[in-house]
Amino acid sequence: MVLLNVDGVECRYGSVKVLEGVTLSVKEGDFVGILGPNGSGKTTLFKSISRTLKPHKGTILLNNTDVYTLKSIEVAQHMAIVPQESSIGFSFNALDIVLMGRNPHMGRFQMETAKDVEIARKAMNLTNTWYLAKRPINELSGGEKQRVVIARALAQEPEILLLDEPLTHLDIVNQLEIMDLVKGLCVKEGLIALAVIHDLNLAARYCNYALLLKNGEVFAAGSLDQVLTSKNIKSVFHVDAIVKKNAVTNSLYVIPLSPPKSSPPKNRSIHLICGAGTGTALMKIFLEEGYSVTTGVLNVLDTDFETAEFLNIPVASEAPFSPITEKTQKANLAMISKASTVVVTSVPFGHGNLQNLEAAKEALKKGIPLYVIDEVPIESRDFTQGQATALLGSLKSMGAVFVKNQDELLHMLNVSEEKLKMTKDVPPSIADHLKAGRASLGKPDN
Amino acid sequence: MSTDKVEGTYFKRSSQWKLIIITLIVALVAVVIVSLNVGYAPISFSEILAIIGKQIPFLNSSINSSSISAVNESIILQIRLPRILAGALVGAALAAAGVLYQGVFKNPMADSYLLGASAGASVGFTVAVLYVTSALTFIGLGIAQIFAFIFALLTTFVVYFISRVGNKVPITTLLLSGIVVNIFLLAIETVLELRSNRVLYGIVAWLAGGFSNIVWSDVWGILPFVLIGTAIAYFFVRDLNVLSLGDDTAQHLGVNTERVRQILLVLGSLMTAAAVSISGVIGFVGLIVPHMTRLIIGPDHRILLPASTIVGAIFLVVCDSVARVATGASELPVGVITALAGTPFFIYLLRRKKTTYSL
Amino acid sequence: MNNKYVIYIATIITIASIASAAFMYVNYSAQTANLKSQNSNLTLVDDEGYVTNLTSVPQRIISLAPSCTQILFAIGVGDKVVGVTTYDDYPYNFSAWIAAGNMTSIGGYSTPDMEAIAMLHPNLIVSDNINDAIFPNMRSLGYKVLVINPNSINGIYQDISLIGRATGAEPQAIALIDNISSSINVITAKIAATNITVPLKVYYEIWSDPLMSAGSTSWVSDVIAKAGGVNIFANVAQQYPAVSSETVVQLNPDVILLPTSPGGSGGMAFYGSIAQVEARPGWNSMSAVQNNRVDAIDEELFAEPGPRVADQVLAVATCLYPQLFNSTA
Repeated sequence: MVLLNVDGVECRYGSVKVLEGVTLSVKEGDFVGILGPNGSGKTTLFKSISRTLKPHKGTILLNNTDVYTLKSIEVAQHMAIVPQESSIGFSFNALDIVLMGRNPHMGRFQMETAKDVEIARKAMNLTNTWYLAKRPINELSGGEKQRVVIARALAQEPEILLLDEPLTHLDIVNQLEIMDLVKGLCVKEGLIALAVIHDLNLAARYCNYALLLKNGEVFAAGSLDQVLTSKNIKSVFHVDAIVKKNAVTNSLYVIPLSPPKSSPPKNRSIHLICGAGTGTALMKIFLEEGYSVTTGVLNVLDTDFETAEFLNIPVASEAPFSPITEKTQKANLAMISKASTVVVTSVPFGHGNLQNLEAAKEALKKGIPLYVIDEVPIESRDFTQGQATALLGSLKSMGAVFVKNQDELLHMLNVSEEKLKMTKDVPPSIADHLKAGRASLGKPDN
Repeated sequence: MSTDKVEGTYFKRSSQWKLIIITLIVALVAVVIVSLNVGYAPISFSEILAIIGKQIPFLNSSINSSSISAVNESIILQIRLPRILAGALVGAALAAAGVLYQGVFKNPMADSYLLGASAGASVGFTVAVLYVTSALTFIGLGIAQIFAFIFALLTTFVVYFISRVGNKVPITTLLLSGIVVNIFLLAIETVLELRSNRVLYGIVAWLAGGFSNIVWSDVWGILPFVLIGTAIAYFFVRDLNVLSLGDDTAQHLGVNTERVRQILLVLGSLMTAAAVSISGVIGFVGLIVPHMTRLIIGPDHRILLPASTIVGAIFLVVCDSVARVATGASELPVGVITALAGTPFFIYLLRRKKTTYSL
Repeated sequence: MNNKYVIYIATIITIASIASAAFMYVNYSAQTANLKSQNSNLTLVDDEGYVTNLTSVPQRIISLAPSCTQILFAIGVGDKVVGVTTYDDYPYNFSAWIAAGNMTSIGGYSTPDMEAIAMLHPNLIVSDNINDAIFPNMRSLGYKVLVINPNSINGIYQDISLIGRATGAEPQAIALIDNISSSINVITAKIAATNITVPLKVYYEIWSDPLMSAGSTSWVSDVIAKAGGVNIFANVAQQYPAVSSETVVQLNPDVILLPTSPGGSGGMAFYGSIAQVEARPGWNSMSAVQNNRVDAIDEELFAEPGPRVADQVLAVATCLYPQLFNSTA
């Protein structure tokens, strides 16, 4: 039973503490992902486990022996390292490089035996590099070199495999193959793997245990579900991200959102009538622009509902596959009345959300400007036997502004904002507002 | 690419290597024998064979002593033979040291004088000639030679120790220290030479490097260093291979990098110091021979070290023979010949192979 | 590490050490034995303090230095000289002799060919100390080597005497010394007879870039002294010190001597011309330059310490006191 124990490790460069209080216990078959932003101490932890940087405090135990008391050849018989980069001075060929992985198991004057070459061949086959055997290492591409280095580590027949950003030079196929390979070895042969990985999705997919580092300390440790949460990601990486479980791979995947631009808050609010993902982008954009946003009615399985939840946008929600109840409709109308603008997206309409168009009508009646994004022709998204189309038509005749796409909408909103800024005192009447908007687009007065 | 083919050629390697070594040894013996024919005194080949034969116990009786003149015998046995053997041993020592230094520094530009052996030897020799009047000899080597040896070693150790940071000796620091110490000692040497009166001529002649005054005690003096140096170095040839992957990686593969570096630097320095104290400073051998051999045979130190050693011996014996006949009774310094011969051949090899080295 | 390999190393070291030690011992002790077993008829101590024993008068002598060649021929044992260097040109045109096959060249001035020497099987080798490194090896091969290094006129006399004794020409050596010293005495007497009390200050330039002159351990200082002058660098301990232009100007010599080849080309090409020497910055303040006392002297004559030292003294005296000595240029 191979065990790796990291206990209270603290590392320093000079007098600067770069890693503190790291404790970790790993057993056979574990595939541990070491995650964290740049400068969080991942590489330092890696170096301390791989015996490159002796920790100031704490111990690293391999099968209950402190690795730093062992001779490097003893450690090399159990632990193999795949470094981030390797520069090789002389032009050995790939097979020679992989055979050097057999060094810890060979006596001083031994030449490589048939068994050694066999092990090397197996390792190279697993990493798809056997066809490179006779090529000089200096002539290989970054990815090929990386795979040869991994083969060398495998040739060591280690019980513990340490990988430092092993996927950097690899294309997508090779990335998956290597991760599959390592995971397979963990599962089938009880290999312990620790990998410093930048790609959170790959880590989520293959690792069964994760260590999330922040500023030299362990921020979170545990299974991937426990560690990879939006909150943790926001806290550690300072990035908003949506974390979902992919039904096909049965693993988490992380969707990072680009960092928010901070705009000064506008004291205006937009109510978004959307659904089926058509509103997600707009919600984010409006928030970035400084508007306060509300939305409804959405059913709780809808993508836009998730986004709204995630972005803390007040939403009028309904249970799925049921028509909008009166209560919900009232809530929706309440939000609408507080909004300064209402936007309807190119959402498909069915009987379930047809009421939203009625709510839109109410907005117009109250004199709140209404924009409709007409990106997808209504005919192709009307599942109400024409009722939606009719409603939209009446909205139009009531003075709703139809725009072709998101960009046009944003342009118009900006324009009207400019106009609002320019007039002082009393905000102009709605009619004037509409007139001004239409005039700037060259549309005739209605 | 079929598996068997690759594996098959891999295993042939061991016998290929043995063949290379045997060929090189035969070449060395041939070169030595041919060189015995070269020299100021015209001695026929048959007389040479007779003279050598007389020294071999079981051939002794079948040699007709009257075919040998005493003078010729003295020339061959006391002057030419030790000179050729010294050339072989110095060439072997410099080439072996060059291999070790290039492996430790992971840099094909390193040579045996990098850590100050030549500058140290020059200063030691000059100091002895100018200030030490003593007929003291140690194992047949004169006081100046002994000083050259000691100063060469001392310089290398000084360079090593000023580069130490804690328990480690970073390679770039070692290189820089070597350069700085070399420059410093060169300045001292210049001062000494300016104060040196007429003997300057002799000092410069010795420092230019050559085998014109070799006697048997020189040969016995350097022999143990070459034998022991290369024998112990051979222990570490696979470590040298692994070392080229980088210090950290080598450590991860079980090589005690600090210890291996120390030992190999000591061995290289001993061999270089011994060579320089016998023959003065002969350049190019320690730099070019390992390179040439690597371009032909490949970078695996298990064959590179023994092969370079023998190639170094052959190379220097040939160059010295050329130096001996080049200009009648007064010779060209052998360092000039090594440069003239080595450089074009090396350029040819580089262009043919077009390998690039990464540092 | 396996025990097998420890044994392997130990064996190699032991064999190498024993082999070397054995042969060195044999070689070294053989030499000492040789030395001890000789009945020494003649024990000579040369200028380096090395003791050489001769059992008979040498019949085949090799000279490794022009000064030695001059002495050997001057004491009359030139017929026993079988080898000289390519630099020898006095008292005979040795290059012609060598070309004609009547003499053998054994190599350059500090780079003799051991094989050439061996082929001549000499009984005695005489040299100066310009290349010390070769003597221990020669002696270990069994050759008798005398090394001279005269740094004064008396030193020259001692070396003539030494070589005379070594070659069985002691009377001739003594006669030669007498001859030389009388010639010099004539010159010094002539100078003393005048009322010249203060010797002229002399700057003797051996090399011009950097400036190098002769010091106290060069016999040239002695020559200048005997000629009624004083070398401005006579108190500098080195043989050929490098000096600065400033120092020369400051010491203000009365006469400047420039050894040049006869015919003007060789050495004068080296200095340029006397006018160029006088034009050196700051030099026009020196009395030597102002009084036009910058003279060329024969470089070849002054190349070696040896039997020609009387001629050297005369040449200098002629430059210093032309009114006393009819210049023969």
